[in-house]
Amino acid sequence: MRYDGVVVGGGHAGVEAARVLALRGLATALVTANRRAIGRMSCNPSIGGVAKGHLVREIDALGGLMAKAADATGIQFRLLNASKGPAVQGLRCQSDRELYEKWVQASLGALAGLEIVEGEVARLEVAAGRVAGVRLAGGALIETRAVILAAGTFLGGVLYVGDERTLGGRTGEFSAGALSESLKELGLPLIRLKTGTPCRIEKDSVRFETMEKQEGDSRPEPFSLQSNPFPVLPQVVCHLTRTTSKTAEIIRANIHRSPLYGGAITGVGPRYCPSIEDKVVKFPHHETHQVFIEPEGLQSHLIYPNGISTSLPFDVQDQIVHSIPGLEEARIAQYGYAVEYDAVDPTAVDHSLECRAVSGLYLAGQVLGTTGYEEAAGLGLYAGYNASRALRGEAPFRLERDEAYLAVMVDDLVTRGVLEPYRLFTSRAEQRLLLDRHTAYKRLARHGEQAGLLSSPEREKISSRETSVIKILAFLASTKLRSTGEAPTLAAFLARPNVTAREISELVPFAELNDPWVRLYVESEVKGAGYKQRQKMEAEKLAAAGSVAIPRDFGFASLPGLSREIASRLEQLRPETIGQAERIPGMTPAALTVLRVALARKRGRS
Amino acid sequence: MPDTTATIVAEATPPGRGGLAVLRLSGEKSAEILRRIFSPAGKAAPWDSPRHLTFGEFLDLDGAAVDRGLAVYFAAPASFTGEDVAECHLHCSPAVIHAVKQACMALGARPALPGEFSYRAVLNGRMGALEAEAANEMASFETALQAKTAGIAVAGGLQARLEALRERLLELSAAWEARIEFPEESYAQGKMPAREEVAAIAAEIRGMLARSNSSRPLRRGWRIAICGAPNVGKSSLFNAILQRERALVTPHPGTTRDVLEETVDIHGLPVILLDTAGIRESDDPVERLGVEKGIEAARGADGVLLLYSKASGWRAEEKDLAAVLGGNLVGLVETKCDLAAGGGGLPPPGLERLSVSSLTGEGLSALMDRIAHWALGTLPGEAALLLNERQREALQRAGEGLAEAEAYLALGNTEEVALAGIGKASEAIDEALGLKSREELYDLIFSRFCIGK
Ligand SMILES: Nc1nc2c(ncn2[C@@H]2O[C@H](COP(=O)(O)OP(=O)(O)OP(=O)(O)O)[C@@H](O)[C@H]2O)c(=O)[nH]1
Ligand SMILES: [Mg+2]
Repeated sequence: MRYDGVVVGGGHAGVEAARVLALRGLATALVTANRRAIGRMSCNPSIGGVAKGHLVREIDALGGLMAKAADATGIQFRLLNASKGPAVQGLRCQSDRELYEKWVQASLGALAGLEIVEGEVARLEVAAGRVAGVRLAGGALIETRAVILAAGTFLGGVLYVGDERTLGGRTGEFSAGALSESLKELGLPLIRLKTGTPCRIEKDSVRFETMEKQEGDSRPEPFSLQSNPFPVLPQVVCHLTRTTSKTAEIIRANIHRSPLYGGAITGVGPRYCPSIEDKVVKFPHHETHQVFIEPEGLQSHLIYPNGISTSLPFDVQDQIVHSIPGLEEARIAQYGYAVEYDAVDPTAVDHSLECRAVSGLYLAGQVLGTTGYEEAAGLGLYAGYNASRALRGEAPFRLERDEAYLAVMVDDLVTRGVLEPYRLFTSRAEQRLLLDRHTAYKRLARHGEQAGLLSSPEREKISSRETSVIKILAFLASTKLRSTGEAPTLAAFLARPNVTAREISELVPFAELNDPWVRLYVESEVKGAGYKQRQKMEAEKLAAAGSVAIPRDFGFASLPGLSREIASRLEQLRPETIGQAERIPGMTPAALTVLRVALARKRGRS
Repeated sequence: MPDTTATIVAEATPPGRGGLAVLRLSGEKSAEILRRIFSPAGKAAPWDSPRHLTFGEFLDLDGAAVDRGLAVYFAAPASFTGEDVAECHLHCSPAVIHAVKQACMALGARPALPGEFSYRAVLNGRMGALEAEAANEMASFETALQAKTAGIAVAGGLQARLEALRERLLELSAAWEARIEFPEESYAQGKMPAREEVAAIAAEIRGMLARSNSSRPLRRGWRIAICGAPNVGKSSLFNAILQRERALVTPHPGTTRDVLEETVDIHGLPVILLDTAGIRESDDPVERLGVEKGIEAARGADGVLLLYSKASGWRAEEKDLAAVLGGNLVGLVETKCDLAAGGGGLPPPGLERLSVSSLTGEGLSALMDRIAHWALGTLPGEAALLLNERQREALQRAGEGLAEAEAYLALGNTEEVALAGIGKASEAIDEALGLKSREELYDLIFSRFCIGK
């Protein structure tokens, strides 16, 4: 067997990566243990959120799949932070888990040039520092020049419930221990991480009537500009309940039986996704904790109790659930567990997400130390695109931090590494006020277009919206509120707090303003003009200061004045610019000065 | 920055008035050089017993003894710079220091650049960036009093203040960011820190800047302008205090045209004296220009000595001048007190007056006392904050960031927009402290708020 590119893993990263390769005309194989698990939401049935929602929109602008899949299968949509400014408003949806994966599978199935191969990858074949192929567990070899490793939590995965431990990346699936060994042999630095999931509960055993209702937005906004009609599926209500002081008591009484606190688990879990035992132990002053009761789907007989992820033994999980109002008689269909797994230290890859040590080997998603479907999808798209460019002999694809959250994430991972599974936050971006969801297409669609990932009707739709917005902004800036006397321009009027674009729509002779996609964008641009202008200037200043290139062969080790630690860190990470060097943890102002001066001298000489 | 492998040598004490000077060597060759320039009096040699002061003779290039004093050796890393260090305690004679330093250089050391010892100390983790700055200022201070005040920064007063500010900014950002990033978390919503906190921190920064402004003369010297009508003896007094004939003196009014500036040590305080043109209405355009320059200098100075001559007495001209320049008067000086009183009257009784004669020297020491007393009086006591230009600039930037945040909020924006300004303020304070805090923000969020579904 021989392919241009091989994607290992059919999760959200693998799906985007495989799709990009295939759409770009490369013969692609997606190797997965189970073709029916492709595109599966292995944790909560939800997409988006603050920062994550932004990322999903960026994926759409670049021509990725996730936004469309979420729109097609969402059963409740909400705009988070709606009362705040557009920069931090985040779209989030509840998805129908089963329909989501079916939709993704169908979408991949329609791609010519993509083959799904069922099997377990046991080894990476590498010759002279280059990927040569992947060896399957049965012994078969798939030859290829590019591998995108998106194996999720399967590398050395161990499941924990109470004092039981089983090998496996997720419930009911195998653990790729051999592959983990193979990566170690290649000299890739592995780190041990942890994640967890709550139990699943039989829907008919839940007393919803005692719980607080959570409605979706009455006029939901889709993730993708291309989704029409929208929403597709009937929309549902979610519920909210809380743990009680009895819950806390049960957990405290059984904490010694937790693999987390018993010391069995050494991997580091994400602090923003703590288990319920973590919450109780670390925040003893909080009597109760929220539990979101999320539907698993329109037809599903299960619900997902979001907020009580745990790896306590089964009998304790039963007690915990029964101590929560509305769940007194709940039946657990599947118990919660913790997963410990290997990830590759992300500083082992460069800004293409290609391993520094093995060319042709790309990493994306949880194997690269991230958490979240959205992060995985973004990285899969990015790694896939870079792999395809390398295969076609094109220059690597790069994005700047003030251009996209995707760039912030890649740069954070590659230059800073991770101590816990990485999740995107809006505050990770230096200029987050420039990265609102309205401007995603303006920022990124040209890249999606260049990659050939956007169809021509899609491109048409994007550019016609941009044109409308430019036209209307120009009109607002040049037209007075009243034709007589001293009057502000429409733009100045709209910039005032509490004035909305709807209120001035009668004064604007362009019908496009009634399209919410255009109206919200216009409003955001006008109201944010001041601070956006300022952030743009700051971004330019930062870029100018950080853009000084560092030659590929620059000898950090021989640079006098650098501490040995910093020099070896720089040798390892090989930053491409001063800006990247500056973001490396442990860099000191003194070391940066040394570096700047050395670079200036070198430029002076050549 | 210079290469950091060379062995460097320089005085570690401020040049000038003390009885001892310390010449410091740092780098690999320190011990080797010390062996060649120092001959211990007893059996014990400093390079054999680090950290012990040893008495002996210092030798020049030819091996001739040029001074007797103490030497001490510190082995890396337990030294000021973290490298091998040798220190020579010499008598404070320029000739001695020169001879020993020349010897060191002939033996392979190169002169240290200003601040280079501290720079190495920072590189080797022996010193925080802030302490290094304070230590550097200390080395360049000309007078004992300045060094004492620099002690405030060395002891961590400034550091503690900046750290407290940083903490407050971090707390505020963490609380606001938690609400933004985790809108569905009830505990992240918690108690919202008041927007007024932004204004409160901004006020604190303004206060720090104001207090540091008032201690500025301590670093730069007090600028005192000698002003008065033509021919009252300004240039003569200027020369008398400097103890040399710096300014031209003639019997003709209107002699001085340019502003002359000289630094002088008055009771250990750095003072910059300005001699100015005599102030009067004039038809001569050159003199008029001189007068304007003089007035400008007087306005820009920290204080003014207003002179009138006993011979001509207190006239209408003097009254006018007192009205214009009396704002920051160091003293009212009656010159030429060796002469008999002439016409004119006496200054108004409220103004204390000192009588001096540049000719006989009478009253000069009382005038010096007066100047020193005035200078110390301008210092804000213990609360003085010693900021160098970089720290001042950073604090100013922090203030601007907070002003930006306040303005954004006033325009009806929500917290995430204000945080753009607050982020700048944090960054500026971090820079002043030589820190970075992005990750700490998340540490604080996750330790403070129970977050996560
Ligand atoms: N007897 C006596 N003569 C003095 C004394 N001080 C200055 N004079 C004389 O006064 C005259 C003017 O002195 P300057 O010092 O040049 O006066 P000035 O105020 O600088 O004059 P302009 O620069 O022209 O404004 C000279 O002839 C000095 O010798 C003093 O203390 N006693
Ligand atoms: Mg004169």
